[in-house]
Amino acid sequence: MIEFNHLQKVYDSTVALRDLSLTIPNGKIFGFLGHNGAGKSTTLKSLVSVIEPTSGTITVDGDNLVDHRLAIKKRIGYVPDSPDIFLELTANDYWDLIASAYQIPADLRKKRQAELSELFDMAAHADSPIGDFSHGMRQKAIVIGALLPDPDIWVLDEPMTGLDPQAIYDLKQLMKKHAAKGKTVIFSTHVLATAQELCDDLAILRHGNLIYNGSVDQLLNTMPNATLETIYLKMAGRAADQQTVNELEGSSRND
Amino acid sequence: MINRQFLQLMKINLLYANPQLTRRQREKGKSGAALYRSLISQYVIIGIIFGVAFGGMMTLANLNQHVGIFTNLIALFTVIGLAQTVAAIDNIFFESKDLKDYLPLPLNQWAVFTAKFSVVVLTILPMEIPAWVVFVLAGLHPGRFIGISFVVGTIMFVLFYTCLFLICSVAIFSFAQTAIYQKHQKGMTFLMTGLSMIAMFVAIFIMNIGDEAAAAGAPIIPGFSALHQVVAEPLSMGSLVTVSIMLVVIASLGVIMQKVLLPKVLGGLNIQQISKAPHKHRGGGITRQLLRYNLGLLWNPTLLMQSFSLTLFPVCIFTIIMVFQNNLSLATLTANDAGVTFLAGLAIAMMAINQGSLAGVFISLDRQNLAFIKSLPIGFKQYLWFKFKLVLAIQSLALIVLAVILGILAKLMWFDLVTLCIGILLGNLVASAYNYTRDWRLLDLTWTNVTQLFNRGGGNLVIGLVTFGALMIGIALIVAYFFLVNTYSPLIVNSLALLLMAVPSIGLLWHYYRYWQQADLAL
Repeated sequence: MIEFNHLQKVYDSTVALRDLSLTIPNGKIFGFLGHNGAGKSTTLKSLVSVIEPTSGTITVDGDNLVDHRLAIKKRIGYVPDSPDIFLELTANDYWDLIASAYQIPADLRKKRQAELSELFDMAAHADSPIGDFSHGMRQKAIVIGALLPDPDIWVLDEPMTGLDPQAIYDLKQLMKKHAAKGKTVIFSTHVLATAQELCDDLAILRHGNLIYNGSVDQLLNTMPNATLETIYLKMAGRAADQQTVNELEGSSRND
Repeated sequence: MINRQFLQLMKINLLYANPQLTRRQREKGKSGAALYRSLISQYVIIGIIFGVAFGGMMTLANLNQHVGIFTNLIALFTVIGLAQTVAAIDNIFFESKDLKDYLPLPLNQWAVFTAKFSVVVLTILPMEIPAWVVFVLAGLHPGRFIGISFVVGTIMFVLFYTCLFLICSVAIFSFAQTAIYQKHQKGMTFLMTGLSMIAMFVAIFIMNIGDEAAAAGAPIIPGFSALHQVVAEPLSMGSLVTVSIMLVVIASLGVIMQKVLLPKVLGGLNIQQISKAPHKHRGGGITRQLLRYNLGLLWNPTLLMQSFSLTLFPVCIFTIIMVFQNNLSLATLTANDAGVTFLAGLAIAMMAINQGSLAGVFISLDRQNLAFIKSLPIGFKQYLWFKFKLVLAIQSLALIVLAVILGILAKLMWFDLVTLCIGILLGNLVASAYNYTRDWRLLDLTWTNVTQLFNRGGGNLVIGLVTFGALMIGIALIVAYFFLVNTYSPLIVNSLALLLMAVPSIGLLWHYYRYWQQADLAL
């Protein structure tokens, strides 16, 4: 179980995340929704130790991230919002790095790499530099890397961007399979249909504030006949309906 | 397991430190262990070349007896070592920008840093092999087993360079924590690498102007003489004190690095900053916008320093050696020699504006933006012409400043100085047209490290040959011209020479004009 407790992130005078408290149970697919700059990536980057929150704590199964950083990192596989990393390395070099960082036994790594490379049509490109790949192929290389250690917690920051339809489908299946094994999948997205299809629970952020935290079904039930898009835009859109937000906040708290 | 991580990280940093070589080796089909072996072998080869070339020269001097020469050599390699360390740390820690990418991975942070430091050491070590030879040679004297000199010299070399390396690291990482560095990171990097390059240049210059006779009686540099004592008499009280002090310094600096500086560097990585000062909106027409954008492309410390070292730097060395070492005075030149100085200007520009010049990389600097710019409703040819004029102006300015300094130092009369500058402008125009066109022909919009752009085509070898060739041909022509103008009628010789210089120059410019008129500008 992952708990964010009163998490706050301030960049100079800009508040990116304001007093975020939420819990993500194990074995769920959890989605973060919100406009650009709402605080989704800040939350995910805080969880994976890329940024340091200004205040508040994050715990994973009761262990504070600050005190058990290395152990918690070992349990997390991360797909960043930009796949433009380690461009000088070949895909194989990158996976070697991941394997050594996560201390994956060689035979297990070989097996997983073969499966995942095959699935994402990357086997033939393993010895090419990541810098030579298209955006989508870079994303695939990073996804494969994140899954090599079979992490307890898989964090993906807008993972569908740049992927072809087949890869999107495969990725969604992998996310479902990963959660079905009792592992946690956390991702951010702008694609509401994807969130509706995949998420058990979701959080909606607006200007750094958490405005909804609960299940997708529960959210849909609050406005019968409305789509997730309609509800989302009412809550977080340009003309956000404060009353709706208050009602939904109430419903998510009462749950 | 940490060893496995460390080895993996070292391999990655080796690749990052040698992007062009890595690419070339991969193109040859090398991968895995073979690739890393070939990367390491280049350091070994450079080390052997340096060791044999410089070490061989040093065997001529009796370093055991001549403490002055020893201290001067060690001082020289200290400056070179410091300059190299600054450049290597900047390149491997700051320029590679990959430290943040390691943050989400469960890596031991010390393994990350140690791997990076190892590659820094590997980068600078080959250049310092002659210093190791100096330490070993200084311990050699009749009646002592050579192995003792070898062991003591090697230990001293390791201790001394560990000290230097730590001093440099502490200085750079402390500086990187300051507000001024964080506010003006690019400018400070430029300053840091620039100063280190100047220091190295001064050291090489001093080495060049010193002759053997003077070196034999060279004054002893106090701090370094203690090092000589250690290799000459390792068991004396003074030597033991020196070694103890070095060990204490190493331990203290090591603790400062480990306990104070590196945690700050690590802490700083995951504190993302958003610039507090709002960027003032600066309007203006498309020309001003493109001007700002293109000047921004050039404001890259690594690009500027590398370009400087490949273009103006050799000219500066040549100028300083000629003026200071050979006491070059052009005070005797008259207005009759205006054609000669014009030719000299042409030669200087041809020597300086090679494939490492800004003109030689300026189009590629646009990277993927170039395709986007092509899609904009502005003439693409006009955009490329605008870029050419801009880079031409920048290079002209730099060359003219250099020419004026040279003219003043060499006491050149004003008229000859003017023709020198005109020659430089014409040479710059022709050489820039060639190199700008070359950049277009070898266009690379996917580079990740600016050094890749300089190494297209024949690489540094061709740059060296062009510079050397321009220097030799230029000197030969200048001498011949000077002889002719002072032997025959200056009017006739100058008129003929002007014709001989103008026709091919105009011909070349016409060729490039036609090329760009007819060029298929498909990306």
